[in-house]
Amino acid sequence: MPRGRNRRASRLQKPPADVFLNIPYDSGFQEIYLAYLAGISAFGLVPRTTLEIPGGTRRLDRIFSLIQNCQYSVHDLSRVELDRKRPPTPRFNMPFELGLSVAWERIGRSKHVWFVFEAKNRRLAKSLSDLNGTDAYIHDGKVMGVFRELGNAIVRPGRQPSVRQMRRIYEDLRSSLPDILRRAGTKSLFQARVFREICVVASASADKIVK
Amino acid sequence: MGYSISLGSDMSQAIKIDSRFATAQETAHILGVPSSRAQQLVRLVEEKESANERKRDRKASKASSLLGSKAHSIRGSKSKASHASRKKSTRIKASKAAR
Repeated sequence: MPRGRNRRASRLQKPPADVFLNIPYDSGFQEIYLAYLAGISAFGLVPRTTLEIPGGTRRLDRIFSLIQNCQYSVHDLSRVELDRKRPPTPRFNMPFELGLSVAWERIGRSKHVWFVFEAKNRRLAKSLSDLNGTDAYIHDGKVMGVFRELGNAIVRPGRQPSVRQMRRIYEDLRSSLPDILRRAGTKSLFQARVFREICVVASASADKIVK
Repeated sequence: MGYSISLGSDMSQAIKIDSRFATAQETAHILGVPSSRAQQLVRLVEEKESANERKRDRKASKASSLLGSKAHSIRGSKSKASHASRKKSTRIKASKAAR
């Protein structure tokens, strides 16, 4: 097929889809967070998180509008345990945002597909029994587990990334991190600017690696 | 405008993506990264990727040369062994003749 026609065909396709990523923002979760960004980008999708939401606005409205603008959402419920800070409290944000996504899938005008990811098998049945009958994707708390489960959840005909390719994108992200963090003047990955730049790197890497 | 496959409650079924594969420029545009910075990041990835490729090539050539030398050494030890066995058989023949 001539190159021009190819380009025209890709322009006629639907625009890149967004994925709402619902994860805990803590230092112990950094590797898994990077794995999600690498894996989602490997499928040619654009990750979106609540990190993008600026302070000062009504947070709930912005979160719901972000979910409404995403065709897919990934909810990681692996950190449902009590946190260490006093008073010890469970984290309700992730199940709450999952609830918003489920509601949007049921009553929304556009289609929305949600996925639940967990680190431990059968824990979801205990922590959120309302979802009984829903299979969670179990990543075992490992980077390769996230890649494996994303590959089980999503199919892109003609450009399906392998676990190895996702791993290469992940390595590209890790090696770009010092530059991104230095420029942003931070050590945390959970900053809006850092998140955006990581996503651009992941997308560039995916476009090069996944053929 | 809808996406072709809805998952509903059956999460075990994989969903098929029919949207365009996002380029770095598109991702930057969606997330609000300035295009000049996006270009810098793309260059960063390209440099890293080409360095990685060089590394992989070097590794592959090293592995192939190692394989070659191993094969050579195996061949060498085989020939040594056959030489030794030949020596042994001549020695036996010689001792038989002496008897």
